[in-house]
Amino acid sequence: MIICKDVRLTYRKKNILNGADFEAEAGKITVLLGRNGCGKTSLLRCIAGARHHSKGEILLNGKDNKKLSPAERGKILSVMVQNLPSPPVSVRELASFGRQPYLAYGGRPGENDRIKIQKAMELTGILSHERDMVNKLSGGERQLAFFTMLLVQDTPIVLLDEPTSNLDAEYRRRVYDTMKKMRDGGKTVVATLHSLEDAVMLADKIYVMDKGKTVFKGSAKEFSESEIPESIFGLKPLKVKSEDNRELTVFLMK
Amino acid sequence: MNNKKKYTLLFTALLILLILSAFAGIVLGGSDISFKDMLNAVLNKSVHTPAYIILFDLRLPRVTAAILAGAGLAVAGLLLQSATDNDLCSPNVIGVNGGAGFAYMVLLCVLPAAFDFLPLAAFAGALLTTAVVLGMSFTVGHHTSKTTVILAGVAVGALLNAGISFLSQLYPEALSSYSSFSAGGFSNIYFSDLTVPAVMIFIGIAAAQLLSPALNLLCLGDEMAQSLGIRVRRIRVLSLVTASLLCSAVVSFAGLLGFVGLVVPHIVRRVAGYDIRVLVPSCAFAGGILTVLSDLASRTLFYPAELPAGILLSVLGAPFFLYLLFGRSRKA
Repeated sequence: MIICKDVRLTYRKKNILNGADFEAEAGKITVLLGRNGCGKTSLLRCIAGARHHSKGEILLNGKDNKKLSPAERGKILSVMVQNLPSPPVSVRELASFGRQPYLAYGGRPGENDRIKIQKAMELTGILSHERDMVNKLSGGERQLAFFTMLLVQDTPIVLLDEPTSNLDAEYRRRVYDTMKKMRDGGKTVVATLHSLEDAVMLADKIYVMDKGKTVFKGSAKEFSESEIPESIFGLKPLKVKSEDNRELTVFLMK
Repeated sequence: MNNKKKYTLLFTALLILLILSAFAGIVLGGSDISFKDMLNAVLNKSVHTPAYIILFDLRLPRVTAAILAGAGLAVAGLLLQSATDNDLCSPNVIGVNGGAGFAYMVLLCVLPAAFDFLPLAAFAGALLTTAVVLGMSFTVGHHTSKTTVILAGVAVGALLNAGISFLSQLYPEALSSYSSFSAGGFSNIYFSDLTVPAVMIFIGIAAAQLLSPALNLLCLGDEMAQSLGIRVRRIRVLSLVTASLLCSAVVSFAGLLGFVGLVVPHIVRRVAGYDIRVLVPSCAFAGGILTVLSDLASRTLFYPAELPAGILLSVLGAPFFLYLLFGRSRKA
């Protein structure tokens, strides 16, 4: 579980976060929405410990984030950044990096770790690429390779910054399926997204940020029915029914 | 072939190549000594024979120095490239050459009688400059920026090179001694010159090996490496300090050798892959081999004239590096 209270972040005299309040529960997917530059990624980076917030409090499973060492944090929280690197390692090696927080310094994965790595690769469907170099994979395959690493890291909290940017529909579906599996496994899953449709379809809870503050929290239904899509994003929600009689929300430009 | 077998084969091949190059460096040379005389000198330890003097007082220290310098610079280059995630990073980028050269020149001009202290001055200059460069880059910005290290190094290096040019205008007589230092090489080296640098180089390579598991994770970027429990800033600082220690130790006896630190990690990556735990010993071996062979070529190719090994390394290294660069861009 993540609790952020009145989180403030100042960088080079500029206020990036102006008192953001945020909560994410275990066994739920919480989606952070907002326009570019609203502070979503900064808040995620503060939660991940990559930036030290100037004021406020961030609790990860009840522990003060500022007091956690990287090694302790590595067992509580895993991160997937927005712009994924292209490391010159194989998919299996990348997946094995996920066991790092649990190994002694310089130690190699044991039998149990190898089983975890194998299972994670099967779950994300990347097993056929296990010997391929990550820097030679397509964008979607690379995303799944990093998801595999996160599954291997197996932390109670998972932070995903724009996990589906630049992915086609098929890979987006596979990424969302993996996120749902993480949620069903009891993890606290937090993701920033740009697509409001995807957010409404995926999220158990939605937070909207604007100018470094959280301006909305609620369920996907409450979000669709609020004035936020229009006032913040300039989009009008429209309920439609699919051929198989599913009710969907699409957001139209004004 | 599994990785364990592959790496055992690689290390064995490199060790054999290093032994063969060292052997060639000791037995081959400009002086016309027969193999029989050499064998005699080794077996009978006839200290005053020319063969013994050439083998043990001239060539053996020289080959040892070349192995130490090559190994130290190659591992330093690997550390710098890994810690800054920049393939073009090399020892001179963090101000080693500028610092060592400036200190050397200052001592030559101000205290020409203190000739014995020139290696110490070069060492101190290199270490002090890298400390300034690292200090500057660590105080600027919220995090240890990879780019800031390089920019600070280039700026400080340019300033010190301007200082060297200024001093050479004021003291033109110091220029010839400085030229041979800046070209780099292993002539007139004795075992006594190598004791302290050798200890530092061994410590530096051991430290690099210790840092290698964490450096492997830096390829994921700072944020993801940190989320895997790595203290990114600490690892980067320790890597840069170790690299500067290695470079300073080498500069003190070999002068400003170019290209080893830049080229060797690239060559070795092509054969050994990207695991830094494997690359550290591989670079140490390969750096030693390349430098011993360059030194051998530099003293035999134009005999009786001797080319500084640093010049030959640059002559061979620059085109090879361009080949790598263009090869890569063609592939891309």
